[in-house]
Amino acid sequence: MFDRLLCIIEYSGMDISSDEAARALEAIETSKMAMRRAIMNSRGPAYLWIWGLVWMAEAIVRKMAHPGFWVAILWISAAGVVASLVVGIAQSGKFRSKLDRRFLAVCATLLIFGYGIWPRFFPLFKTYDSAYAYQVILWMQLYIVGGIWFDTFLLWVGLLITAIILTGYLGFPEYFWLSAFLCGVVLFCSGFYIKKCWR
Amino acid sequence: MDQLDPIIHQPARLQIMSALCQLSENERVDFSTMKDLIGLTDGNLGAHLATLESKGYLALSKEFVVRKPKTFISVTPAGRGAFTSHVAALRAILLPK
Repeated sequence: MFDRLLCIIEYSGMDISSDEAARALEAIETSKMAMRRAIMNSRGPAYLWIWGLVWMAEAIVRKMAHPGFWVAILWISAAGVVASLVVGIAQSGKFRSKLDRRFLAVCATLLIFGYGIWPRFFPLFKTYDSAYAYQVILWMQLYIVGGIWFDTFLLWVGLLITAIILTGYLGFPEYFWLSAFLCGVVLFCSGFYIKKCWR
Repeated sequence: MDQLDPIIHQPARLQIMSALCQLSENERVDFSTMKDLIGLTDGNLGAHLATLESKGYLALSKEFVVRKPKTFISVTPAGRGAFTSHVAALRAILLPK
């Protein structure tokens, strides 16, 4: 009661009516929701949609297994990279964050070891499926680390996709293409979660 | 103690602060995006941002994006605190007597 009295004395110079206070709060809410929508759109769902579609397309092409399928897969991946760059450039001008350099260093370390060191010791790339599974798991390591670092949702996406690809590769090799396709679906759908619910 | 802030209470500045307080501590938004969100002209928005910056409620920085200079806006801890206090004071007005 005393605090309310003090509040009244403090703001009495501004002479705010209840109606004005209500209008102000409404304007605040409108502006808040507009900014949240803008933030959600820039948080990265586009990348997940792009790479989810790329993975699904690559799985289908692999399933068709025509000679030279790997060339088509390279082109699909290249298209994914180009699309990601375009999205990155388009969105980089709207919102910016300070880079977490330690996190980037961890990611770089995992990739360097994953592409440059481990394959020299283990015969991982004998077949397309083994190479594909290896690369998916390598990138999912980054999601898992990102999940530990930033948001648990990324951790679950990383673990789920790793489980799906390992199940396909180890348990159902004749249906590996389907597990690869499902990984793409999970990635694609996670983009919608980030757009609608993340924060 | 929550109190109304006459600088923040101006309608356009209220919207600006409300939008900026949705950003995380490390985030900043560019001038054009803010202009589209609030619906002000360049000069109008610039004047309001200058007022808020002079009070220490937000920080402006110029950065290059694809070789073009852009102005980015972020809210300061002081600004976040002042806005939170202002909102609480507004809500207190609407409390049943």
